[in-house]
Amino acid sequence: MWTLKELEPEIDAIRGRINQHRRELREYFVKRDEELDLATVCACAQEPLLFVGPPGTAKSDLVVKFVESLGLGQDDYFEYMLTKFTEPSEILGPIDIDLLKQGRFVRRTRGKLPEARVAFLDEIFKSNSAILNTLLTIVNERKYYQDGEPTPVALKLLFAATNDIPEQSELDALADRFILKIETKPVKDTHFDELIDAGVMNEVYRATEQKPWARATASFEDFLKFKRYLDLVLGARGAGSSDREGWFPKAVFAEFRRVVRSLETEDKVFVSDRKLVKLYRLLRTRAFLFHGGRVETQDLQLLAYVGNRRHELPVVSEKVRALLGLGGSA
Amino acid sequence: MIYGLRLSGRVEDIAALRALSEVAPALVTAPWTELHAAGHRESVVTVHGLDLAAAQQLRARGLDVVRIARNATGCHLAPFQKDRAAATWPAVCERHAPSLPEVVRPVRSPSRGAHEEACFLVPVEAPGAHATLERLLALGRDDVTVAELLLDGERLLAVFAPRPPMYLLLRAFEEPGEGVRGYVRLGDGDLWVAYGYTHPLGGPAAAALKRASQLAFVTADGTWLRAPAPLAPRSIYDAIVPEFHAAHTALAPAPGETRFKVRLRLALGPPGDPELWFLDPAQFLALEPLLDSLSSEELSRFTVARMTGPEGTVYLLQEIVRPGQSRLATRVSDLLGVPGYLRTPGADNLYLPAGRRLLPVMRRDELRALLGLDRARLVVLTEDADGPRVVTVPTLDEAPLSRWVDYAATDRRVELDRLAEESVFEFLPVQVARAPKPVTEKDRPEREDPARPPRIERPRPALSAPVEEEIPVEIEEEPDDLVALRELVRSQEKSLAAGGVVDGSLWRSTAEGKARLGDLEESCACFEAALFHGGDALDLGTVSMLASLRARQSSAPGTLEGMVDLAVQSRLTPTDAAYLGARVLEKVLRGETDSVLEGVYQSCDRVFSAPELPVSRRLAWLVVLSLHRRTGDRLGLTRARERLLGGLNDRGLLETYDMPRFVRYALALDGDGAAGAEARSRVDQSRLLEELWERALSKHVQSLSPKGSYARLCFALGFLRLGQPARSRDLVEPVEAELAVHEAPNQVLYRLYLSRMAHVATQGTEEAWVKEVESTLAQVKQARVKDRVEWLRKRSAWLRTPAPEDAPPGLRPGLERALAAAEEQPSTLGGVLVQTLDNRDLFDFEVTLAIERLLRAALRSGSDERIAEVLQAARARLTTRITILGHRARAIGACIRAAATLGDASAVDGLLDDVVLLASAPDLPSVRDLLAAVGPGLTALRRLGIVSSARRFLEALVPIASKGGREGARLRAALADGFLQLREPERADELLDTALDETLRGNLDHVGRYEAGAAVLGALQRWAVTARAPRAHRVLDQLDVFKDTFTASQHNLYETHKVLILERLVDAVADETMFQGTRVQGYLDAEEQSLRRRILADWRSL
Repeated sequence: MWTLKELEPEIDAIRGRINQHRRELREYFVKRDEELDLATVCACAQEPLLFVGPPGTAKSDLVVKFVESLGLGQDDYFEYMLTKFTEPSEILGPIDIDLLKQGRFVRRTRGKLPEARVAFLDEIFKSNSAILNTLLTIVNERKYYQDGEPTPVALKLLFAATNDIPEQSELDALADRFILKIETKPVKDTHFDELIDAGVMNEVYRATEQKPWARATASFEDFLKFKRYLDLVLGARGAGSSDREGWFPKAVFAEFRRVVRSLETEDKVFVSDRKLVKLYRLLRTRAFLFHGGRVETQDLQLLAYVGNRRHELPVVSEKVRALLGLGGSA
Repeated sequence: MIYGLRLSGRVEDIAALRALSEVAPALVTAPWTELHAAGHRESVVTVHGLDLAAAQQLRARGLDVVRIARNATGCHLAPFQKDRAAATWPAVCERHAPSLPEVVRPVRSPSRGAHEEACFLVPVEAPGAHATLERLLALGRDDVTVAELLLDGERLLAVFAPRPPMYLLLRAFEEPGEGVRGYVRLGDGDLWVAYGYTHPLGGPAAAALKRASQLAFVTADGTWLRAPAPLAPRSIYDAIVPEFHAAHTALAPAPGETRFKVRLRLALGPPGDPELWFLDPAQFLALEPLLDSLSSEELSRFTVARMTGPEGTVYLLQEIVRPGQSRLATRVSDLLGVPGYLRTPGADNLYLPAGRRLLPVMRRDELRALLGLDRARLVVLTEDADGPRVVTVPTLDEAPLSRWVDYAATDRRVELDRLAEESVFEFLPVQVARAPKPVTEKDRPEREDPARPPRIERPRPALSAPVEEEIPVEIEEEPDDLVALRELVRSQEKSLAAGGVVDGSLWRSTAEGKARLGDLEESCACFEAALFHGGDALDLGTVSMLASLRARQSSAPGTLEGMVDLAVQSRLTPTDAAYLGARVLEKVLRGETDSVLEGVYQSCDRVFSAPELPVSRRLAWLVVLSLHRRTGDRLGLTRARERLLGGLNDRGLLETYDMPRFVRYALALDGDGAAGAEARSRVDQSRLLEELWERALSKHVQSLSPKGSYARLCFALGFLRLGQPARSRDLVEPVEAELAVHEAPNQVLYRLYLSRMAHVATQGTEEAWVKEVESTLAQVKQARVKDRVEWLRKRSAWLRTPAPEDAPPGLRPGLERALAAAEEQPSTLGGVLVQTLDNRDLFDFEVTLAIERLLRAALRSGSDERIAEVLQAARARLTTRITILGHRARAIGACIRAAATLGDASAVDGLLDDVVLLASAPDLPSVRDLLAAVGPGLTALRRLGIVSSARRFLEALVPIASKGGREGARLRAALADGFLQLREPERADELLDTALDETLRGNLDHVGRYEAGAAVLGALQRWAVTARAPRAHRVLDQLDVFKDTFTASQHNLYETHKVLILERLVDAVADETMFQGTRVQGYLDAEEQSLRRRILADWRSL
């Protein structure tokens, strides 16, 4: 693993490449800057991201192009559309029959979720309870069970998509694992012409098997290094001194607290302790990625994506932007 | 010595101060002093009146009372209670206040939750003022109000916000530098305390403020900011001056009348029936087949105008559209294959091609000017490959189409046939200059004869006039061989009409004979029967002949493309469907196949297994059988079989398609020899109706009397049914003439009866009748008149429309969903029924409805196994699960229908026993309910021919009918019908007469009398006309027995029961379904059984 000393000389270059990568991807989409920025922040922080929106709003396309642009190997990426009939073996791999005869319950995980470093699970909330439990463990603890033994997974980035967030208590736990959720909306009403042009070009790329977005301006390793660097920086403060003091100005921190409090008391958005801590890390990640320094008020717009329920997403988004004086949603 | 009360600055102070208020209420309003040391949360409050006695009293209540020893700058506090600590404050600040509440500092509030209302105080000039208003507006909070206050010369903005945003309160609390202070209201008063604090004496303080008409803001350090109450708040919008930084551009109106050329075009429009056609002479002559099939009334709806133009003579055929009448346009368009034109809404004389409209939509005056509508009688926009064309007709000399038709009349079959043959010879010498060959005739070899008469002659039946006098042509001798052939065919017809003929050769011989005689339709029907009865292997020769005959009848091209066109059509005419079936049979037998044909075959499987396809079921089965035999597709055949059987179960065989016309004719006229003929002849029905009318005229019809008018209308409708429109018109003319003198409700009702006559004459659909009634009633504005009209209309079998109340009662949603799902999935029918029967929460009526619906669905599925399964499930629990006998009777009726369809005699027998048990139960259901089971029972017995069971069943019910009462008479009438079907006329007569006697005796109540009379007249329809006559006369003679006490009678509008009985009487004499007699039904039943057996055998053999 890289040390702080190793990473410090190149971190600015890494940051620059990731930002360049983020900007380059935008040209293959119409009005999806917000989604791409968020995906990049989540990729840097290695936090899962959930896309919520009706069919045909580029959810899958965003993830697929983002992943392809990283230049990953075939076995590093796992993509699956879940249904209520999906079995664990479709996600984790089939049982090894030879080993089963020997009394061992071992899955052959090659090409499946446990060995993938990036995964995209479409219609994630349509899965059944067996899959949900497995996913919870993988997302939260980054492990799964092989023959009864906890085994780490290689997963670094998890993207998921859904048409809706069902109001069922058994799905709350999984929904809560996605700290940020972004609503993808149709853009045809506001960007009709551009959408047609971009759509036609996409068809052409598909037909001619071109992937111009896969320029690998930033590599997957860059994202790993970025995360590693931030981890090291967060832990580098001495006793009696916190990361917050150095990187989170008091006024901005107070603003952070006020917004969270306001969402909790007025909009009943549940922000768990775990979520609050992860939000802090995400804010730090965004600030460092976007402007390389301390958290600023504009970074707090990440809070626009903390809504849990489907109906909360637009309300929270509008409100956070209003409180921060950032105008309506993009 | 000074005594004081030490306060901790925490919420505990609240209790201490309240105790103080109770112990020494007079002190509360005295001036108080607070001693407070910097850096200490604690403070001491003291007042002059707090002496040793009061201090001891307070100490006894547990309050922290102290002795205060002041020095130059500070003080020493010695507690009264030993467990409290002494304190020395080197430096203290003093603060004086006029009362205790004002001297007390607010204490920190334990919670910072939501508040009802808050006020943000901010100096007008501070940056926070602007930011606060902006944030509130960004959050959409335009319900806040603002006021301005003056504090020590500084202007303060007070922003009052109900349900204040938490963010702003926190921000005001945490960011003092912005100058905003948040206060929340305590209770309902005018005391506002700094956010995050509460006031220990909030209640008394608010009360004091109210008395003083003031409001106060209490800061965290206890400072009171007072203002007069109430303030005059303004809307937040009054406090802002919106700015919009944008460049401005102004537009000014400019004079000008620029006009743009817009090209009108014909575009796809809503579908509609055309009402006008342009025909060339050849097309006009090709109308002949249509005229053959039109009644005189229908014919009168067409007008023709002959015109000349650049393209020669053109005939303009126009259909006069009348509201509520079924349209004839489709028949014209189908026959001629020429496009028709439809009047444009909003322009009476502009016609566009049907299914087209003008785009863009223009103002009417502009359209009239553009197309010259004001200068022409008609303007028609046509279109062809060269684009649209405007055809202007300045004047129109139109005449009824009937003027172009000559009739020949006879009511004898022999003469009809002879006339048809004679007409050929008569017309041959006539030479007509033919226009170019009609478009639609190109595929019909029989129409290639260029010698077409300029006037179209057709036979029409007449009734009583001598035949010889009415035939306008001279009948010549037939050639011998033709005569012989005709005799032969007639004898064969007689054999075939007897029913049960399974000899294919006889059918084929008849078919060939009829083909030679030119009767193509009957010939085809016989060929189909010949194929059906000709054994397993279909004869290619027979099929080819059938196909060629059908091809001559159909307008479809005989090419493969023509077949494809037919096979993909969503609706086929009977002729085209029959042609397609014959052609497919021929192709399959010849073993022809290619990719196009395969597509046709696949499509035909779907088309011919559809139960509603207008062809004979024999042909439909032969087609699907041959298609699936070809591929050995047993599953496909099973599905087709189930669909066809489902249709059979649902509707049975249809007289129109499944019975050759000569059989219908023979059964209707020949019946049981001369007697049968007499029984069913239309002439005799007419004669009886005429006799009854004569008697009614003398007895019941008086000028200007409503009763007479209703009698006229009822009898007129009877004459119309029997094909005497002229007689019918004679009867109603006086009613029409004196319409205006009658009461308003009667006028409306007369109009409805007249409309009904038009409806019967045109054989309109039920939907058309509903619309007719609605449009008539819509013109009635007065509620009272409408009520009177509706009273009779809803009771009249002729005038009523299906009302919402006729719909079955609603089921609970869960059951409804389960039944609907089962109806979609026939395999689950049995299971759902068992579940329904097991559900003890369901009411009896729901269980009954479930049984009826599931059995109907099983019958529709066409699967015997499915029917048996559902039937068995229903029967097993019928008597135990449904306790209300009326409902049980209905359920049994449904089961009987299903068992009869299955041909399960033992099940029918058992169910009939259930009916008998039901009828003999101590709490007998009403006869209306009982009839729900008896009716299907009688039908099933007729179908299965179980005479002994039938007799036993009827006998068991006779004693119940004998109990008398109004319902007894109704049951007697039903039983009489049953005995008649068992061919026991004496028994039937006895029962019917008893019921009639009982009815006319006048002992029953008014309603019962009417119901019994209606039942007797209903049953009477099955009797021979000769037997009907005396009974009908009796009813008419004693019409006054059918009284009522309804309001309409009392107001001399109409007598409800009399009118209704007159309707029933006419129904009994001039039955609407004249040919649908018992023998016809018997023939169809036998055919159906034969077809079922054949289907089963064929299916098993594959």
